[in-house]
Amino acid sequence: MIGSGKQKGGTSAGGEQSWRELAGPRRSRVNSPQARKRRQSRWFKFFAGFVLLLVVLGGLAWVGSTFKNRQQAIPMAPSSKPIERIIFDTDGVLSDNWLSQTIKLRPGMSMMEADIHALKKSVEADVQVKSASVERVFPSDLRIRVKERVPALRLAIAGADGKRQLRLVARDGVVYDGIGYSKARLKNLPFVQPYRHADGSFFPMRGIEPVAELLELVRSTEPNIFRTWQVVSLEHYSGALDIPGQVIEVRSTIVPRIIFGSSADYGRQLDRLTYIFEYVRKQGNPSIERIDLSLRGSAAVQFSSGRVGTF
Amino acid sequence: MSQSRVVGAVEIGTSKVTVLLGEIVGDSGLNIIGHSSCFSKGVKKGVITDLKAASDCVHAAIMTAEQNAKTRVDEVYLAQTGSHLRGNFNVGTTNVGSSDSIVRQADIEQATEDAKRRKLTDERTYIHHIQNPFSIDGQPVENPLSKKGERLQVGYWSVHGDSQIVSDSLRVIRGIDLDVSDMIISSIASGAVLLEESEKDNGALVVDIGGGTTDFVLYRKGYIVLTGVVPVGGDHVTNDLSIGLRVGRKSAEESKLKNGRAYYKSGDREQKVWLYGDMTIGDREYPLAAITKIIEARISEIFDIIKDQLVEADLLVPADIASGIILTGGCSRLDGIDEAARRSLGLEARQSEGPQDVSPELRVPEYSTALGLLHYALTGQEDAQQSAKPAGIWNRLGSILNI
Repeated sequence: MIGSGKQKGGTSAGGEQSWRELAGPRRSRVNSPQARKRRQSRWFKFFAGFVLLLVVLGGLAWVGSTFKNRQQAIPMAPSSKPIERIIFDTDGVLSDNWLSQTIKLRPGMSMMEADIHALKKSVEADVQVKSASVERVFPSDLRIRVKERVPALRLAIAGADGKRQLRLVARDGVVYDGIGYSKARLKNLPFVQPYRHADGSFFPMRGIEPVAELLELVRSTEPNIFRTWQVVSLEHYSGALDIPGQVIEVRSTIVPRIIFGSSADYGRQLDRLTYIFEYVRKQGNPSIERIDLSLRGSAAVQFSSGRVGTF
Repeated sequence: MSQSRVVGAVEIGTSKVTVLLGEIVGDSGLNIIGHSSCFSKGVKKGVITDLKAASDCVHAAIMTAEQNAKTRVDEVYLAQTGSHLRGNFNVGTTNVGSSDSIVRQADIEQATEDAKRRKLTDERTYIHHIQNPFSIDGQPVENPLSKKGERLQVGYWSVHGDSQIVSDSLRVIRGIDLDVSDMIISSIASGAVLLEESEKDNGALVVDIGGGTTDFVLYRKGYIVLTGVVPVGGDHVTNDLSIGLRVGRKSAEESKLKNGRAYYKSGDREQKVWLYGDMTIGDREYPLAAITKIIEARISEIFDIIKDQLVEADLLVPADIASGIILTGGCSRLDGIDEAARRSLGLEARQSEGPQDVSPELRVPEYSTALGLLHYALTGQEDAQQSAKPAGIWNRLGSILNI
């Protein structure tokens, strides 16, 4: 360090006509390559510093945001946003109204308060529902997806009060009340005369799947024939496909009894049936009592006249 | 934690540009952290004659010093020299205003304003107003405040220069985006760092012999009473030798440094010296007298001019200059220059010794002005009425953005 003794008496030339007044405009300064280099270096440092500052601030903001989110995740879970909307997706006919009656959500219930497993269980408690999924869609939606059973047949039973009650039979043999179906759709479904077990009960109904296949095949390929079918009798069809001789009997408005073999090819049987109908039509529509398609080599047709023909 | 600032001391000399960087820590001390010097361009007799060339040179020196110090300069203290500098002694007078004849601050301000009131022509600008002692009713007083008297007087030695020349030197510094915090004439800067307070009180004449000019400052009773610039310096000696010996300037400079003496002795006639001394082709012997007589003539001229100015100001009183002559500047290294000064001015003389608390490489006469600038950066000029802009964040930002 060098000394710090002060000059005795001031030496400053402040005031009027001082050299300090010779400022002059900046543009009058003299540039040099060194000055330009120094200026560029200064700009570069300023810019680099600015970028660094932005990065630091961005980093701090990110850390702050992450910390805030983490803070929210733990204590805020019970007090998350309330459920504002339930999105209900179904492949069947069940309505929002049915859902609101099936699941009971407390008003103002938060997303995290909703027990989605319990909700799923309550939705699946209705046998019309084959499977269901419940998921939270943050921030405030609950999505419930439902796969419904498809009815294949109608079942008319006598209730405890003796009144006739209608049930539906799904392809998997499940019998259920059936909610939300249109009358037209139900009217197209044939009634089922179920197999009676040894103990006299109808349930469980087994082997409905092949029956439903037959019905679907006829409905899709020969809708005019299907429309005449009124009852599908499973009196001789236990559902155990490994037992030979089981037949599915259909009662239609045209032919009182059409018998399909349970183990045979439905397509071939249906072809024979249509051929028989065509033949009969050409013969002037003689009344038919019974058509047996379950025979191995041919179909047997018993006319009301008592004549039996094979096709 | 104390704040620090980096100040630059810049001396744009005729033969050399010198830059020192100092770090002022708090307000108590200063560390020299970088320095550089380069041959000057575009400067003649202390005056910038080629702005572009001078700027290139000065800017390069500043940047080199910054690179050495690994930092940037915040502000610059600039030395000013050249024969354009003139001085006037002005006396301000006021009648003590109060009925009890006690000098109050208002009286002091009135007297000082009166002393500084002299108007210059538009081409001139003040560099310094150097305060001399106050006197009350003709009796000198150190501090007149609260003293009793009827008439208060104060003298000011005011130094002024050519506005255009001063402006040019400012433009050079501003060209590298630096502001000049203060401007100090070379002799005052040198004197500030070379003299002890006691030497100033006893009276001393500091003579700074540079390349193109010789600056001097006379202290009496602790106050600066005279400053001056002689437009003759070491380069003139070299030039004289070049002509007299009929050699190039480089050889003349080498001969001056190796064999030169500031005065002639009778034995010099017989003593022979080699021009180059390395026995190369063209090297030849000269009588030493040929060199010393040439140098003596020019050095004597410098001191005689100073003597004339002292006499003219009625200030060549040996009793008032008891500390004698202190010689500094590059040319003060010349052998026998103290004797030459003694002979011319009739005063004791010595070559300066740089401050002991700087590194040996800076403790040489060439750096005395720059060291003096740093001294002023540390201590400031009393009565400074305008200071540099406060270094607030917006000013710093403005400086960075060059607005």
